[in-house]
Amino acid sequence: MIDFLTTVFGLLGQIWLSALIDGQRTAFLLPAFIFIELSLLLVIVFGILHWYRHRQAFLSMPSTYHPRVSIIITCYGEGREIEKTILSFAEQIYAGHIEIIAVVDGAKQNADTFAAAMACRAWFERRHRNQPLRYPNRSYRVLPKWQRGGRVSTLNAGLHVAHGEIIINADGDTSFDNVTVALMVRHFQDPNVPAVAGALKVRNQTDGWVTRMQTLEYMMSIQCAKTGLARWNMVNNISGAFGAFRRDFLRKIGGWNTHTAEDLDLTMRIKAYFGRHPNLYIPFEPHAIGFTEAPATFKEFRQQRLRWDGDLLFLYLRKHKQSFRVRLLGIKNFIFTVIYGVLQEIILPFLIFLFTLWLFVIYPAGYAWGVLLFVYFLYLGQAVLMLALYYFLISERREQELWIFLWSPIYPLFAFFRKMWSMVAALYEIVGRGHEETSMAPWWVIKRGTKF
Amino acid sequence: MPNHSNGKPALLNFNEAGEAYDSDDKKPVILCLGKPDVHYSEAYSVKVLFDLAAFYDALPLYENLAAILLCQHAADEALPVIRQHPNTALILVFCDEPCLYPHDGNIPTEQQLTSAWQAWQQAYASYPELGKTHNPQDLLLAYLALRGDCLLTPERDLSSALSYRYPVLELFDLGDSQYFLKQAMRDELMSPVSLVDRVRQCTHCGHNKLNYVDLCPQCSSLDIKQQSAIHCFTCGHVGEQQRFMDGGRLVCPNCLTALRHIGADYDRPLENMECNSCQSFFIEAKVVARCLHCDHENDPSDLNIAQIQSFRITDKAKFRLRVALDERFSLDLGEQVSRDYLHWLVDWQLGLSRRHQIEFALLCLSFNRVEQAVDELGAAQVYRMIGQLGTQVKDRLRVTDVICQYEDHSYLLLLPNLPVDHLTVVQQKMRQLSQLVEGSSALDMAVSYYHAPSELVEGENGEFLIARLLAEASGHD
Repeated sequence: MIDFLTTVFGLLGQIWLSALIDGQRTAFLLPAFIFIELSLLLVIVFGILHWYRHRQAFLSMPSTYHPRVSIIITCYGEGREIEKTILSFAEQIYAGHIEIIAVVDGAKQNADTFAAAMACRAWFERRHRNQPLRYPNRSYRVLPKWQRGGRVSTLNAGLHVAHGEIIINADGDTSFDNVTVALMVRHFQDPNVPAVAGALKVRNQTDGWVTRMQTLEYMMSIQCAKTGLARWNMVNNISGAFGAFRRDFLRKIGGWNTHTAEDLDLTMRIKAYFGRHPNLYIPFEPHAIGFTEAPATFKEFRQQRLRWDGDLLFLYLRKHKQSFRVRLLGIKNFIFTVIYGVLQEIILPFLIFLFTLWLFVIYPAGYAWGVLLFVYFLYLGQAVLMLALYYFLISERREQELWIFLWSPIYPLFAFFRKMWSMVAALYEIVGRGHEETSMAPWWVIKRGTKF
Repeated sequence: MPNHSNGKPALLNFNEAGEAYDSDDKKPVILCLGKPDVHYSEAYSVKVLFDLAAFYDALPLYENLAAILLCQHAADEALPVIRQHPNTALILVFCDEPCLYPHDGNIPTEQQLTSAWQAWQQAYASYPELGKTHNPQDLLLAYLALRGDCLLTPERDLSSALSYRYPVLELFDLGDSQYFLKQAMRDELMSPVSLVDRVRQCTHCGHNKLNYVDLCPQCSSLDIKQQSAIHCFTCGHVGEQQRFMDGGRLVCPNCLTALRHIGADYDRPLENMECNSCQSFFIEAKVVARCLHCDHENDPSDLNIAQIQSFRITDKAKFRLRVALDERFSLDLGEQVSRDYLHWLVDWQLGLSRRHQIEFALLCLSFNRVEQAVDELGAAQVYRMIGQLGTQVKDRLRVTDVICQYEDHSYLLLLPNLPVDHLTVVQQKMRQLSQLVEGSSALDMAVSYYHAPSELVEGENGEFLIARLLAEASGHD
């Protein structure tokens, strides 16, 4: 693996050096930086088109497969927010049984969350003998973990008591569309599907520009990117806020593992079977949508990304560096993971930063600004293309989402900052082992986890 | 005693050997319907009858009847007849057959019979006037009193309107039990001992076979169903969930918007009942108590509530049996009117007085210590005083005056067309009464007066007025 990286680095270094010597060619070398992005873009665009072509056939396929589904809702300090989540699962239009399990981590400290979870029992019970059940076919239980143990223990506790054939994990602050379960389950008809990735949207879209930008980002990186990638069985991550798994498969691979970014960890571990079981397939369902609370202020956003992007580096380059093998991932996912996971997410931010710095050092400011303007339009073009694909092919709420085009001109700036911030996060992880500062589990749990 | 030399039914007497013989002696008689298994000695004359009609005919024949034994079926039929016949109303009745009505126990041995009869005779002796009683109400009171203050207890009976019946009241044919008991309580003849149950009755027919049904509050239709309704936020349409289902999705049938997210696109309004007749939505159905007997629909909170209680007779009732039944304790004032008629008359006079300023007076004459006087002075002395007082009062009345014995020892006199200055004369005369009759102060006679229109009060009616006068006269104001 390291050998491969040095090769890539070497290649890029040579391009870099020649550009340094012959400054006049810089402008022509620009696309080289976005070569990585462009290759991904193509994969995604064709993936979406392919998905769109087969969508109707998938939806109109008759189905009598309605297994019992267990929903593990991870609750911590959400308070009464979890009512929305529980209600949204109760409201599912699904012919089979849905078992809703609200696992409250640290139920003692989070007494209000626990009380809210207990209060929800009223929806699923009869007040008197002759009252028909409000939600027949739905059962609900609260699983309080009195001692706080972190997200992973919460999920595994839920998995331990779940009876459903399909397990769906959901965050306590995420509520779901009423077709979610039915659409997710539909994918499991194929016995080769061990897991399905679910889509997320921002619930508090209108809170401010930060949430507006994140809405656009989610649309591109989740709705578009995952739809396209999943078509080629290269889904990057099954979100921790919303994913579905076949219970037996999940139990066999040992459930969720400790450390942060347990979702990416689980995705990597499932993918590690792809080399040996080439038929395994992780679909993405863009119309099974969880609406989640995104950070509403810029500061919260920066903190969240510091964690996420740092965790990404920790996962790919520390915890799962052993997984970067063709034998495990299969050639397709190996290339993808390197390009997406390592080059785009980790190395590209550094390159962009250095390029911009170099641009201003070598060239007159006017020329540098000109180049950046060109880059801006390049990225704007990419964003508009993605948003258009999303809007016309994927969106299920077109009438409510036209505003995204209005906000798209700001998006490249936001994306640029995000890239720079992701570099800071990577540095922080490399130097300060940021992943160990997670708030996802208490320190006494983190301390005992295997060091990478 | 009727002359039964001709119509005497064929009675059979049995001797110890079981042979029938004729006897006319004065031995206490045991009248049997059917042949008893128990053997009785010669101390009793046992009369056995097998035919019900002949048995009924025999009821009035014996003055020295000790007991009646019902040894064959038809006890249910015979017992009310026995109790409603004045000669046998209070007699001990024994019965081996299961019976709807209470009786004095299973067929006794001779020893048991003798002791029961002696106890009965003793009790009977303390009510010397009982023989004259024909009024069913007094017979009932006497029946209870003679059986050691036996309780009047209700029994569960699903076929009756209230689900409870008082078998003893039925025996004496006292009509509507609730009405009778209410009257008896008002007259302080019966007092409740314990509350057995509380039943709700139809306000229309008084039955308690009620069916509680939930109806549509709009059109009162019975045909309602639980409904999960959905409220579309886009157009505000509210409808049955089934009409929103479109394949695997929810789509508003009104505006065709896809409803995806609870709380954001749609919610479930609280109304969760729908009427199949008028299609209205509502939260809570109207509950009515429909009478299964007359189909009247009652509001459950308006239903009559009847207390089902067991009763015992009061001391006042016993006193009444002992003393008041004796007409000699009542003033002989000539023809009297009933209470209800008096109420009507007083109301009428009050009405006339309001409209035409007609003058009339109402007097209440009350003897408050008759009971004590009987104890202190003896009955004979009291008879004499009351007799004299009655004559005196009667002499002072005009032909047109109306008299009513309102309670046992309270009399109301309505004096129509009496000017107010004449009232003082009447008052004076009444005051003189007690002086005229020696020793009559022991009876604690009191008189209260009312005169209209001088004391006319707006809104007062006859019943109030009489109650006030009674209270004034009896001293507990």
